[in-house]
Amino acid sequence: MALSMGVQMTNAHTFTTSMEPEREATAPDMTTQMDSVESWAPRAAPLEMPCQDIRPRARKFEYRNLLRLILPGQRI
Amino acid sequence: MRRAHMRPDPATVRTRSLAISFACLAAFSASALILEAGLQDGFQVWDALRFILVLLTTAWLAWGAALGLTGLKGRREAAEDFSKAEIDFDTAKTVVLVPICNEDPVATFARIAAMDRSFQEAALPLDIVILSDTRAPEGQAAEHAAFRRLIAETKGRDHIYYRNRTDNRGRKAGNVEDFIRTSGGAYKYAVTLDADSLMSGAALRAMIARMEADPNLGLLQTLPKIIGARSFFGRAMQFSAAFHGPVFTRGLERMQGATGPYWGHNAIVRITAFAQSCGLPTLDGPPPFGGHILSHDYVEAALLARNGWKVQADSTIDGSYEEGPENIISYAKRDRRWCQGNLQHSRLLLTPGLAGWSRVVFVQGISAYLVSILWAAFLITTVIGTILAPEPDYFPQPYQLFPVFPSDRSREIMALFLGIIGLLILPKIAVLVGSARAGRTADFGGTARALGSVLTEILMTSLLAPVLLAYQSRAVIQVLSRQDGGWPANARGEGQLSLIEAARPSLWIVMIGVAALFATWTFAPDLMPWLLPVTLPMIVAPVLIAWTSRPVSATRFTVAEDRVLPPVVSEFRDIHARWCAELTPAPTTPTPTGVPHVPA
Repeated sequence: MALSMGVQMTNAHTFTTSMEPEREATAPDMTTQMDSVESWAPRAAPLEMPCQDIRPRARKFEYRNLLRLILPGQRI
Repeated sequence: MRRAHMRPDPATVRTRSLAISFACLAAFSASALILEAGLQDGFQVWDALRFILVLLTTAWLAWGAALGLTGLKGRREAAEDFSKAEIDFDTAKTVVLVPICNEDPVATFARIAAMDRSFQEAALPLDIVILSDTRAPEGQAAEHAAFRRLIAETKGRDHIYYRNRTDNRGRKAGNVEDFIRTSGGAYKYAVTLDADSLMSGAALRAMIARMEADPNLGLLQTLPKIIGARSFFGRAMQFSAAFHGPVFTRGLERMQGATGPYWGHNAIVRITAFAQSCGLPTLDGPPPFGGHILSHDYVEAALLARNGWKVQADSTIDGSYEEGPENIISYAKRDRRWCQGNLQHSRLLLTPGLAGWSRVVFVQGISAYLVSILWAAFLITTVIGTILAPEPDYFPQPYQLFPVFPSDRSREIMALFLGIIGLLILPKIAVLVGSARAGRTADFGGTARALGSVLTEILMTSLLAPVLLAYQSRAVIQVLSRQDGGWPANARGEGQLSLIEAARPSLWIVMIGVAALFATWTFAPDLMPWLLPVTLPMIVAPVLIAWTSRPVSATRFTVAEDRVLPPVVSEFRDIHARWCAELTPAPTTPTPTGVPHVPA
């Protein structure tokens, strides 16, 4: 937890090699299953996720509407 | 698609009205005092500016205080305990998502191993998916190795998955969205985590049960407790979050009602609701205001509410943890990201169909950063106003026999000063008193120790306030001048800083502090006592930054987790220590420097 990013990256290579024997020792049957990174992905179950409309609607200011509101029945 | 957001219930409307009234009253009282004092030597433009600035800044402080005071009152009825609820997992299929990008894979995957064990103990048949956006080949290799270790540790090949995205579009939000588009149909709920999140099985059971109990609940946010802090600064933040956090969050729950918050992690979402509501577009124009939406969580919460889904926070769910920054530099880096994300929300204020309160939440997030600039402007206008003030006219009338002395307004200014301090401190003291009466201080080492921790934390935050104000003001100016800070990965685990390391990123603050002190001394010596609490911490910023990054013992700022370590945290530490011990040093491998930047 306290290790910095740099140290983590440094240790990454040794981690791979140092972990290999244990992996084989604890789970030998996994070697073939774990070979391909693609096989680690979750199963596909597509779901639609529509892009949302978040743009403010440009409303043109209609001054006549304002006048109609203030002066009803004036045929503006 | 549903398009009608829920109307707030009467209790929420009442709470909001009270909070708004309180903030307005405090703001107008404070600004009236400053205006009255300023008008003693006649009207100047600085008086009008100071009136507006004090109005806005005090309103903000009072709003924060109202949030705390709103949460003080306990719940009328005990929250229902969902942690042992029966759940039919054939229908409530749940996935735990861990989006990562350039994180420490050993720590991150050790957390997943600990959580998986906790889920098994709680008999939760959950899937866990690690969603990696890491692009560097060596980073990917480290993650692959850690994943192999994770699978060996947990025997979790049938329910723990890993996928690495080749296209990092949309950063974290895009990463989760990509999962929902490709695999979301297999699940009813998704628990979103950060790389430093830890959640217990009991917490997840309670969250899923709450979602099952309320079909309109689209998102449930827990209050993560900060764990693992070791520095003075980190432990003070950890204590503050644990001690004051639940009360402020309860206030937030009451204020926001069904239009609650989402903080992007340690939360559960209803996948159908999220999928139909939260597909985020890219904003027109270049960053920082255009491009991908950075602080996506607030926007997702607003969009869920827009579609009629409830978004709620629940501070009573135990077993939700995260880590916090260990020093002020890490804190300021994180704040820079959040600043850009929150200011970008100004583009979304007029989004059609949003609940009114969602817009208020956006304004609140923007104000949280703009207020720093307003405070700085207030200090500057005060100094300039004093320098440019006209000489007092003792004989305003011709042939006047006795001089007219301007009335002394020191008492009003002192009242204003004390009022502002009160708004800052009052909620914290009120939480302390309430906790002592309820026996809650026992978790924090007893009332005396909790009092010591609260006072020390107040002293620390007061000393650091000018330094944090400087960092925040710079961040706002950078964003407003269109400088994109990007969204660099979190530099977790950064710890103690030497004086040199602290001085490098804070030298500019020292220089501003010295210049301000010199200007005040030369042109407005009367203001020295008022400005020293601001300029002195700026001048000694490197010392403060380095000193607060020092590790302190667990007896300082005691929290409940120091006494009884939660099982999932203890499990994580054991696994992490074991995995780290299995590593051998590799001195020949070069260490990358700097924080990797996440590509857009």
